[in-house]
Amino acid sequence: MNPLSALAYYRCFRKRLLLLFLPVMLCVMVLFLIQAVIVSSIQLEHRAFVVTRKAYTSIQAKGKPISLDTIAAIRLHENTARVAPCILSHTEITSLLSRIGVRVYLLGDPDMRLLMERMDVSLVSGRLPAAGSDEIVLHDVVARNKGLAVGDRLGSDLDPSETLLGAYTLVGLLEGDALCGFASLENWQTVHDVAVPEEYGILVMPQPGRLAALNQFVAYLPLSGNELSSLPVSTATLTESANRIYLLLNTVFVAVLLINAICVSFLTYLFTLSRSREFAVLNAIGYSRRAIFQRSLLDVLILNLLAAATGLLFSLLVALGLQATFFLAAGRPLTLLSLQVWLPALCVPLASVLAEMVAIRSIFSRLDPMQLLDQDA
Amino acid sequence: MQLDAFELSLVYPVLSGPPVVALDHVNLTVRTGDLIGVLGPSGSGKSTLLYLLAGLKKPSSGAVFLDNQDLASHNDDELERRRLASFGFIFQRHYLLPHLDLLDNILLPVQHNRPQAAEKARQLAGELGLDVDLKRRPHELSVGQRQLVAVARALINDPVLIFADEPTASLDSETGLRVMDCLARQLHRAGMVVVTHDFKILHQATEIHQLRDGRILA
Ligand SMILES: Nc1ncnc2c1ncn2[C@@H]1O[C@H](COP(=O)(O)OP(=O)(O)O)[C@@H](O)[C@H]1O
Ligand SMILES: [Mg+2]
Repeated sequence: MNPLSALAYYRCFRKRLLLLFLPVMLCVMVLFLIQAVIVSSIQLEHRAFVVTRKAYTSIQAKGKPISLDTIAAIRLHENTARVAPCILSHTEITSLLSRIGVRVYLLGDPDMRLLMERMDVSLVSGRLPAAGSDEIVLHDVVARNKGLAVGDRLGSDLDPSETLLGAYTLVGLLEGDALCGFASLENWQTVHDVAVPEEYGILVMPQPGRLAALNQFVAYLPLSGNELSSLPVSTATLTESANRIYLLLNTVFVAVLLINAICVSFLTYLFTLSRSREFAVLNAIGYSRRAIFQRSLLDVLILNLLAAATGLLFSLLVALGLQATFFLAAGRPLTLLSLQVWLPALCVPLASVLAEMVAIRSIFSRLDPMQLLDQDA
Repeated sequence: MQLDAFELSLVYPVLSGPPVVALDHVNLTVRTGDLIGVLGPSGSGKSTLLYLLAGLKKPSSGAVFLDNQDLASHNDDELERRRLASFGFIFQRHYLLPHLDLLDNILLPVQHNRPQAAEKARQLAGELGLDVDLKRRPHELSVGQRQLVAVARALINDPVLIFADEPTASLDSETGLRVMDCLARQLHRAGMVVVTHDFKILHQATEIHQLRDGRILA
């Protein structure tokens, strides 16, 4: 065995190995899992809130009906492909962090298919709601999250805490990136006795690639208090709420990073100091100081990489295990493949390597082998 | 190979009081085949002399020449390389690495061809009368046995210069003589300086000096 090998050293000093290994590994795990939960939650919110808005812009009446002139102006605009009468309702799902509102679009039959196509969602099971019926389709994730299966009923008539007004029967499940649901507009018209649904709400689908231009145009329309829902508006809202979470997260992140780096570098300092006599002997025999120093740095690097890799592997296994046994079935899929999830955890070994290198350097810069050996004489 | 010490002095500054003159204008020459014995009571500067000769410390004045080259003209890297390849140093305090087994301790100076060196290490251990499993660790050994490991470590690289700092201090007289025999067997290719306060072990010496208060007595 190479006399400088850390293996030989740590075989004798297992406790020291653990004291340097475990904190890094645990911090990596903690940060990875926290980050996975938060990113997954925001990702879910993103799918419900932002991805859907990439297909349309909507205006909903608030108090006053939407003016037919406005509707005509939008219909005539060059960037408009289709203006559909549409009532927006929503139902709530819960992530590990928050409640998320998922839009349910009450649409006439051809418009429903058109919007589904534009949102790139499709049926995985069951069928679409029949025109005029109290039927509903929901995204598979939404249904799982709410514990619903095809055939189940939902709505505020059955459960007062439900935000979806009325009573519906779930007849189909959707898949795709966008989280949403669809129900029949004709049914709503019958129940509320409405002849011109356009006055209550419209959904504008843009010409291909013209969403931004359309949104710009709609933003300047006199809406007289009617509610505009568009990609820029919802993106801004989500960004704001995500930033609040990230601020908290960054505080935790920096704290974990610092505490870990301080602890392990302090231990490294003590352990390296306790080895100075050993280094002095090696230097006296003829090992170059530089080689001993570089070897110590390399040891620290390898140790941290191993600890981080172990931590990541463990937490990935834990996350995948939870994903398979619980999260997928519960409609709370974990986002694991995003760089955002891995990045903070990867900073842990980086910070501790740097801090430990500083500790080692400070010892070697003052290491005087002969003085150490003299002390024994 | 020839090592010359010329007017070698080392003065330690002391915070309170006069500086300590550990070595005072010492002249010495070691050639291959020489076994130079240096006798002196403790504190007389024996260890200091060896450190200076081996280039481990720098003299306050005077110089050490290895084959007519001033050691002071070499940088640390060169001195380190030279120590590793051609010097063998037996420290007064053995200095074995606690986490390495005995074999790895003996092989510390070895950089190449370790299997062959391991064979040689076992042979050296036998010659020195070190009758223990070389897989054991230093703390399991008596002080005397550790001394033998330290001797084997100094000899493993076939050094051309051997510095022995009281190599028999922790040994019984019989083992001490065996160590000296083993050292003497290196004389066909090495020169050595053995410092001790035990006159009896120096019967193979080619030259003996008395050291008192850092000075070699005429
Ligand atoms: N690092 C040092 N600082 C100050 N004085 C020292 C140092 N090392 C040795 N000395 C002094 O130098 C003298 C010679 O020491 P040393 O060479 O170790 O003697 P020996 O090996 O013969 O016992 C002693 O008086 C000792 O106290
Ligand atoms: Mg001494």
